[in-house]
Order: sequence, then C-alpha cells, then structure tokens
Amino acid sequence: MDDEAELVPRARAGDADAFARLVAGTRDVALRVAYAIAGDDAEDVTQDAFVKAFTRLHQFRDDAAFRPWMLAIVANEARNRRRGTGRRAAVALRAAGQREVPGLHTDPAATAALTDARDRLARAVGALPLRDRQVIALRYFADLSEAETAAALGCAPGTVKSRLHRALARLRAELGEEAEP
Amino acid sequence: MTSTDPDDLAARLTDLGPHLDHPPAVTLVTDVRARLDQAPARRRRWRLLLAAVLAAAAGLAATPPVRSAVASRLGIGAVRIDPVDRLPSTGTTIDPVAPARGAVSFPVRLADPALAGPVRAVATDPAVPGGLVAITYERFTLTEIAASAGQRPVIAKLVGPDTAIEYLTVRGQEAVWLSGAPHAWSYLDPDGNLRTEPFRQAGDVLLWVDGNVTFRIEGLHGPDGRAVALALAESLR
Repeated sequence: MDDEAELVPRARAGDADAFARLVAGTRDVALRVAYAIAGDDAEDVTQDAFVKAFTRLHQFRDDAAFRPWMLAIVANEARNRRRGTGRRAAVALRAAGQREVPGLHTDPAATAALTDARDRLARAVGALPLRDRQVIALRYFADLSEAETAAALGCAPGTVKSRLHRALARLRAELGEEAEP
Repeated sequence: MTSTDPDDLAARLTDLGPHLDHPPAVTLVTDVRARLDQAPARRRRWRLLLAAVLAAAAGLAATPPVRSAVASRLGIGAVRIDPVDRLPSTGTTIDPVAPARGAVSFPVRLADPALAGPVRAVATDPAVPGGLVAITYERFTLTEIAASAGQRPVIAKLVGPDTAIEYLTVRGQEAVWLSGAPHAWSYLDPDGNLRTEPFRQAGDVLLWVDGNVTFRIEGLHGPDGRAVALALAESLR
C-alpha cells in the first residue's frame, strides 16, 4: 500500500482504523498463506494473526517491510493451529476455476485444462509435510524473496534455499515428475 | 510428465498462488477491526498516556511558578478555556450527506468510517433518472447510481485491450473490477446512444449492483487497490 509508511506509526500508536487499512492491503495474500498451511482454518487463522500483529506492532522495526513481517505472523499462527489440532499432515488444497468473462475470447477447453493443472499442483502441495508447505507458501504463494522468506521463518537465506530444494524435490515426486539428471 | 525444469515448477507455484481456492472471508477486515477495540495495544496506549499525565502533574506540583505560568495560559485572546470533568451536550453534528439524501430516490449508503476515513465532499447529479450521488473520501470516491441490474444502462464504459476485467462478488452479488490502463466513459441518452460530449477517463474501478442501486468505487490504485476496494464495498451500511 502506498501510504504504509504513514499508516504503520499511526497503527503503532493504537489507531485501530489505520491498522484496519493496513491489513486490508494484505488480506488476500495472508489468506493464501494461511490456506496453504492450515487448509480450511485459513479465515480463523488470518483473523487471529491480524489481531496478534496489532498487539505486537511495537516490535516492528521502521526499516523493515510490513508485508513479510505480517506474513511471518500469519505463517506461525497457521503452523501452530495445525500442530495444536494434532493434524500436522496433509491438507486438502484446491485451485479455483477460471471465471467466464463475457465478451473476451477464451477457449473453454484451454481454460479447463489450465484449471485442472493448477488443481493437480494444489493437491500435490497439500500432500506435502507442514514444513514444506510453509516455505512454499511464503516463497511462491506470497511471492516473498528468499531473503524475506528467511526473515519470516527466522532462519538464514541459505537455509531457505536448501529447504526449498528439498520441498520442490518432494513435490516433484508427489506429481510423478522426475528431476533432470 | 509435464516438466522437469525446477524453474518451471517454481513458476507454476507462483502462478497457482492467486488461484488457490481459499475461503472468501468477505468480512475478515471488518471482523478484525471489531476485535481491535478489545486488543491490548489500545489499553497500553492509555496506560502510557496516564503515566505521562501523572508525571506532568507531579512536576507541576513540585514547581509552583511553572504551574501558575501554565494556568494563566488556559485561555487565548478572546477565548477562555475551562477544564471540566464532563462535557455538556453539544446538540446534533452537521451531516455532510444530508442534502444528498433528499436528492436521490434510494437510501444513500456510506463506507465504514473506520476503513474509509471522513467524508470530504458530496455531489449529486439530478440529470440521472432516480439520482446519482458521489461521495468523496480522502483516497477514493464512492458513487451510487439509481439503476438496477435489469434496467437500461445510463453509463457506458469503453475498455481497451490493456484494461483487465475481473468478475468478483460483493455481498454475494456480481461485481466487476476494471484495472490496468485507464478506460473511457460517458453517459447514455434514453435511447441508449452515447452522449456526444467528450469522454471522461477513469482509472481502476470496482462496480457492483445491490437492489436498485449501482455502486462504483474509484481512485484506489496500486497492487492492493482491488483488496481495499472490496473491503470498503463490504463495509457499506
């Protein structure tokens, strides 16, 4: 959001309206991360994470970026929720179908094939262990850089690299795709 | 075997992100906002404020000359300032939307002030049958037009190839988000012909219909414009 620099100090001073405007901008991406880690608990997880972030804004450094900081809280909340329910294993992930756009020339068969491929990939990600889903959600679904992902996970950038490498290898196996020699 | 290239798998995951079928969570931001009033951050702020007031009071009591200097400043020019424990009733506040309410055939709705901030300006257009009201906030304009989904359109928007059209939902009703390159718009006359006056240009816009009113939120740009527009649309009351 353009006025993030203005909204953060106001939110930190206790301005709940400024904070609501801040989180409105990260709503979709936060739901995406929560969904990849905690499946259908995504909405509750995201709501709890946003409220926690408000109480922890005094820990947010001015020179940091708000989005990775917020998503780190979302990812942690999602992971803890998943662990708390004793369900550390797979979640059922799905991809939404492409909506028809009247007046635009889309090929229904091509659109359906694209949706099927996305859905297959979503299911394969859902079958991965919790740790793999967490790093994939932050790096790819939230489109954070490796450095931002490392900051969100509280580890070194090199660790993100190796965790991603292992996660993608398991994903490839799940999809039945072999890596090139 | 779709592909074995690791970069390709990364690209497919990046592509999948926006298409994940997560719960729609339409009231998420409003629900969070409602919970913040009970959150500790606000209470902490009051504690800090109380601590500052107590410290200041202690300082004043300790140094009488300072106290009298401050007391004599409670008042400026023709205005006297009287500290009181409780404020008297100040009657009704001025509602900037009141004149517009009488100029349109439908109940005017406003965005949640918690998200939208205060109303800056209100304009009506009596040329539109049933009325049109445009409410300008700090960051965007909310326009409400008397025209339901089944009725004849009163505005035409001309959208080029570089403007994206996305179909969404607002309160379960179909909505459209136009974004990317600016589009052109003009009014239609009763026969459905575009008026010959010059076209106006518009940026990213969210359009939806609720009952007999078409709503438009305009002025929110950037990557988060769509999410903010949707949250505002859901907050209308």
